[in-house]
Amino acid sequence: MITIKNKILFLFFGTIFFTFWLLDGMVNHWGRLSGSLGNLITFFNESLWPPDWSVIKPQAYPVCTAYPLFDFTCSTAWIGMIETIKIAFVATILGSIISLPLSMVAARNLNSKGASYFIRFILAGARSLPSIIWAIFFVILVGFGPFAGVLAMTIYTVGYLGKLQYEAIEGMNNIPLETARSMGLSKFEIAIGVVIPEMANSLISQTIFMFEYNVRHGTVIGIVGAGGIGYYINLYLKFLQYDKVISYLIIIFIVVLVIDFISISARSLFNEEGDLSKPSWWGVFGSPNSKK
Amino acid sequence: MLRTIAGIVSPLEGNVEVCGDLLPQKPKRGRLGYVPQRLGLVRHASIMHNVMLGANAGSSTIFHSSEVKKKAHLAIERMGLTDKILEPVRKLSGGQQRRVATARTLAQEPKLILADEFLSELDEETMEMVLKEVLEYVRKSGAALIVVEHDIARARSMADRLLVIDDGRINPFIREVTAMEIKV
Repeated sequence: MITIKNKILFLFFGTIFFTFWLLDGMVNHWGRLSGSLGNLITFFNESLWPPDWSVIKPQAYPVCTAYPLFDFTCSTAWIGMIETIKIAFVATILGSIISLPLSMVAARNLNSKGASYFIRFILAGARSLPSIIWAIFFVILVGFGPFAGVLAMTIYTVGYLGKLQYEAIEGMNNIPLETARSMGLSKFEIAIGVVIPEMANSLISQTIFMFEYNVRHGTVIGIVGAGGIGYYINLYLKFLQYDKVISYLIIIFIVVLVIDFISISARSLFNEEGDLSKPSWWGVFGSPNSKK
Repeated sequence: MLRTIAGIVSPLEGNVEVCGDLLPQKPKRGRLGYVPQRLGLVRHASIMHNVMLGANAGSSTIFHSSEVKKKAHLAIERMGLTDKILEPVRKLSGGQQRRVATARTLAQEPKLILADEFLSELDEETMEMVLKEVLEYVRKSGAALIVVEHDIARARSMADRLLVIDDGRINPFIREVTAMEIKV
């Protein structure tokens, strides 16, 4: 007789075997991997390292008029990174303004199946394409530059944030909704008077998370010409100047860590009890709720 | 039973008629005030916000007029919560939260009040104050009050009619009962 333990073991080893079988199909010839580590080390030593920090020096043109101590603000790294953060910020705010009413309609505990599925379909469409694909569309539509990036990330934000929001709304306590309905309040009044105040912490926290997410993903949309630091990364990739590319990547890594930390701190202000629990730097690497 | 009258759950059989309307039907604005056992308050909002929901349901417009605000203030004052008016509900004690739910219903000025254990978690003095205010509203407005109460003595002290639910069914006889006889 097959016990439950044997069934679990069979499933576990079966899954592992299946995974390796698929992997084997994709690798074709394992022997070609033998020199890959050596190749990586050569590439790292000869092309990537040391980073070329000229990317944080002022550009030759236009002439930098900033105070010498702040001349890094005329560098491509600064200009690109600030543009990425601006794109992420504007897209997050516009996206959350559009997604909130949509998520109210999409939430099954507030609306009928028909209206809910229609909006869910739109939201799924918006997030089914990654922001870089939307960026290609909008570069064609409005031309190169950060505006295309803003539009691309706004559409993606509406799809992604909308889903987070309607799922949070569906998870809310049903009794305040039932009570408000029995009192005869309209759907609009229930949304404004019950849902938003009750879910405010969660909605704000999600918006801050979305900003953090958009900063991380905003770095790549520049590759297709939609503004931000990705534009410069793409430029130096084309010229095979990998030592400059690694400098940009290190800067992005540091900025993303700082924004992650700010995001965790800001979100901790909007926890259940509204009390600030001091977050640690380690929270950037682990769960946002992990405590020291 | 209260959830069925409030139009939240549909009856398994038969009809429910509330103030002349046959359920299920969209509840008429402000006509029915409901204090559920778990209160149904917006926990992250202030006392004023919660009571304003009731006061607003009692008015024909969705915009807060000064009259509506006055009603909300008065209901909060009746429940003795004026000093905490802007306090978030989640920071209040269980008894205070119950008084907020009652204030919300009083501010609504409904024709029918459904109250589920609305006096529990209150100390003797506060309970008498809340009961007095609710009964005074009922007397002045001519509204009906349906209360679900486990304490038979307390139920008898406030009710004109008493229905005993025994083993899930309404006992048709209105008579002296003791708490020991009640199974549900």
